Amino acid sequence: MVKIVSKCLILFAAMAFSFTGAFAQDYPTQPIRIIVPYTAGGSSDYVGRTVGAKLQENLGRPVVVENRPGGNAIIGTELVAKARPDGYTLLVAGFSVLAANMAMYQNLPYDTLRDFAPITNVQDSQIVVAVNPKVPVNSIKELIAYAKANPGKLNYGSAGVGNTLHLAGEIFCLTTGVKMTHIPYKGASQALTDLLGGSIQLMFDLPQTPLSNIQAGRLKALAVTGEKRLDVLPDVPTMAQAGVPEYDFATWTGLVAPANTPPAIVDRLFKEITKALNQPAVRDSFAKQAMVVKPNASPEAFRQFIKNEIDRIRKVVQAADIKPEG
Amino acid sequence: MIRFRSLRDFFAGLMFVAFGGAAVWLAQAYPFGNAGRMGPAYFPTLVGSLLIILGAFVVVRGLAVHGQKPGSFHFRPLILVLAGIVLFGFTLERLGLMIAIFTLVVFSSLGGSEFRYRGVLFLAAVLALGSFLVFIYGLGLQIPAWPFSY
Amino acid sequence: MELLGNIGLGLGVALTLVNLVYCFVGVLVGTLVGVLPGLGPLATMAMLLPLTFNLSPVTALIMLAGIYYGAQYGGSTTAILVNLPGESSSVVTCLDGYQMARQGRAGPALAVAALGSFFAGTFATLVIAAFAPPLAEVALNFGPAAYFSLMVLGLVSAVVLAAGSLLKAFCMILLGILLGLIGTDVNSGMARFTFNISALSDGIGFVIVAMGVFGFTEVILNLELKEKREILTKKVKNLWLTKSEFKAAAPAVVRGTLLGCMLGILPGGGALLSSFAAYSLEKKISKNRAQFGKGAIEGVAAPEAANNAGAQTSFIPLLTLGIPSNPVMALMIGAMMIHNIQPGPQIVINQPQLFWGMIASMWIGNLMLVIFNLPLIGMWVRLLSVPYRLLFPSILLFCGIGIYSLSSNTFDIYIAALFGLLGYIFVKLECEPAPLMLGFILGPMLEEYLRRAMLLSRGDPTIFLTNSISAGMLIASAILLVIVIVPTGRKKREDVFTE
Repeated sequence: MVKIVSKCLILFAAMAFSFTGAFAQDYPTQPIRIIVPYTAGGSSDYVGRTVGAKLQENLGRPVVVENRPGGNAIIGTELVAKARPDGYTLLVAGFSVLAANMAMYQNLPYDTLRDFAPITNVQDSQIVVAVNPKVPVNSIKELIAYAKANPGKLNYGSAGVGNTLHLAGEIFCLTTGVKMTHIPYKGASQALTDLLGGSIQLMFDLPQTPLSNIQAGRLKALAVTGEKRLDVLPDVPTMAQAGVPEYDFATWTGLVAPANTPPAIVDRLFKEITKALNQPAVRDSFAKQAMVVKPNASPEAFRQFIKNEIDRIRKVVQAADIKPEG
Repeated sequence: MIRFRSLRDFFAGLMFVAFGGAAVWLAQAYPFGNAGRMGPAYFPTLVGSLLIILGAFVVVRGLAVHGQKPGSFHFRPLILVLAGIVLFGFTLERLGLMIAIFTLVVFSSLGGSEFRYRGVLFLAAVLALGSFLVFIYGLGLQIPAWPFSY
Repeated sequence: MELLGNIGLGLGVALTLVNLVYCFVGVLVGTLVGVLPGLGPLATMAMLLPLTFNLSPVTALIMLAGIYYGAQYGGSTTAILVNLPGESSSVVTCLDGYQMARQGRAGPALAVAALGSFFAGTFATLVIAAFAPPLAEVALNFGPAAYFSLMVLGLVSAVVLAAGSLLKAFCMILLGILLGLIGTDVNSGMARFTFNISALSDGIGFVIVAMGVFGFTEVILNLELKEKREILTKKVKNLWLTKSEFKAAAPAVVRGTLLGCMLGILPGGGALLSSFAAYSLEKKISKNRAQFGKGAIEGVAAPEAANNAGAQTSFIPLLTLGIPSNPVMALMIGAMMIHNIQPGPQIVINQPQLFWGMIASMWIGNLMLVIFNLPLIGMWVRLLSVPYRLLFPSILLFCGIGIYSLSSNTFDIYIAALFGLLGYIFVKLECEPAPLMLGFILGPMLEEYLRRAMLLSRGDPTIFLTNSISAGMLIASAILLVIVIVPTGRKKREDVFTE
């Protein structure tokens, strides 16, 4: 009796193990959904669609991008946090969703480290400091001097309270010791409109939004964060070159799966995505949008990176006292 | 004995006062700020208060100015149609579009004046098939068609 | 002349077979999508975006643009036939268009909508071709104070929309503002009136409220009529405009077009205002004033022309400055990025064939739409003769699917049902929904610009008067308010005396 039961147990265990192994080998057998928690047309959307197209090529299964905007990206993120961990639902998420939200909201319906299995980072975006040409400064140093002489006078725009652009600006003020007034908007393009019109004087923005206006001379770009100059803006110095090395800010976007997704599937996705990202054509198309392709060495490395980012931002939010509570 | 000249206006005014009052009451939870830096509660309180005042005027008009009674409520179409819609939403993700369509068509048709079983079920079937072809197959909308797809 | 040369270049691009085919596909899909209540051009464009990857950039953009203004045409069809506004700009068309349909004049209503839109589209295309860059400059001069005053002007004109009691109309505007404030407050990041429901954190969608208040309520009301149900098409007079209708509608179309062109270039929500403003203007200056709300043809002609003109000119900030005026334009930017094109001031110089090709194809798209839609009028009118017991569940279903397709959230359907109930109560208490809708749209924008202007002026309220554009609009609002209230005040006194 005991023999039969134990044989059954062993058989069952063997089946279970081989099942997960076979599962990973058979993956994918269904279409894959990549959720983008923003409306179509933004940089996260671009990441989702580019990566999705490549995955579809390499995995041979349809990959569908679904836009689930709303609630500062919380709605789409919550959806994936609660989705089945079978590798068929993925999320494009980055700095603001995984790190900044954790630092700012008390009642978040997800916990980044608990609810997600990170796959890899896809791209890093530096921040460009864009000012309206009417502002009498031509370099970052001059900007800091002007801001120190006129505390609170300069207005900088962002895409919302607690948004990446807001945090980038606050970190700048904290690091350089200046005081500027933050003006929140419903989106970066609305802020850009007022920047062009002169109602606000500067923005700490992702490069692709003001890019064409900078190139046309309607805006002045004083500097970019990061180690290297942007290919699309070769005349704009980095923060270090402009004399403010202490200000370093980059935002990043990557892909995650729900927690408890089988590691074999996560690894498979990691391999396919990094393979796609390392193709020169893909790197170039990202570079044209001022995004730097930067996959991690492994899913574990991505997880550690996210953890560090959460801690870093928590400190900033506390120091700047940002509270979009509701 | 209060003479209600226009019950229509009287109740309309009460409704406005109620909504305005609710807004002002709920807005107490948010910071008010001042005219220079308005907080999230500033504008709603302003608008809500204005609505209370104007709503009170409407109530007074209901008492003073000759008007009509509210239009009569026909509860059967009201409740059945709304129930059909709510049930449609309830069954859509749990039981899929096909069943949701049947639910919607049956309930809302019950709200109409003529209900013929064959006609209603036939309509539901046609709509279900058509919706499947046009929305799910043709346009590729992400709607579950059958139970437990999600 | 350089302009002719550019138009020639554009036509050369737009008239290639590929671009013609995709233009047609775009406007066809757009019309169908616009006719279906709920499902909007944004969702459709997002769904069809992957299809455009393998097309050339010009072709892709032509198709997407076709979907957008095709939806404007389609949205007016449902507004007229079943009182369902597919887009915020079609709400006003419901007011008189649906009444015309009830009187058996659905044909003329649809005809004037199509023709008016075509005229507006042609005119707007010329405006874009000739004046795009300077108009963009004008748009940039609108700061928060100016936008605030524009919204005030818009709200005052909303009072004109009211057919009945002014006092109650004003209350409905205020109520609409309060409902519009549900959601996250831009200036503080706080969620207001959301009861911790995450689906409400971005507010209630306009389409959802419109479905409920206009669509569901109308169905319920029609079911009540039972024996007294008016059979809509027994009295179908003709499918085309009579001479007098044409004469009445033509100037309305011109005025609507001009208004739409002016308001459409403002990135901060100008196009939404255009149809409301056109309607209010017509109502105020028309000798036919009493007919408005009961089936005045100018009440369909002007808003339809205005919203099509506004839709076309809202491309200007996109094509010249790279700034999207609304979420649809933002999607176009995304599409351009995928094709490695940088939207912005450089496009005219770097990619002239793209710029002019798009402009030319807009006109061609409008032409296709009018040719395509006019013969369909007969079909639509015949659709109205389907027994109501078959028609209304279909309407409810398409609304339901349309609502769900917005955010794949069944909660939205419940909210729409709630608004169906509210709409019913409103009608029984003789409170009009149109002012509510306008307050709903304008209220949150009004607050946003007010607070932003005050933030920028550091608490100094005189900014609304020192900014010349803002001052001008506030003065216009005051004048309009006086014009609106004073004559009716006199009339009310007469009413009271006759009681």
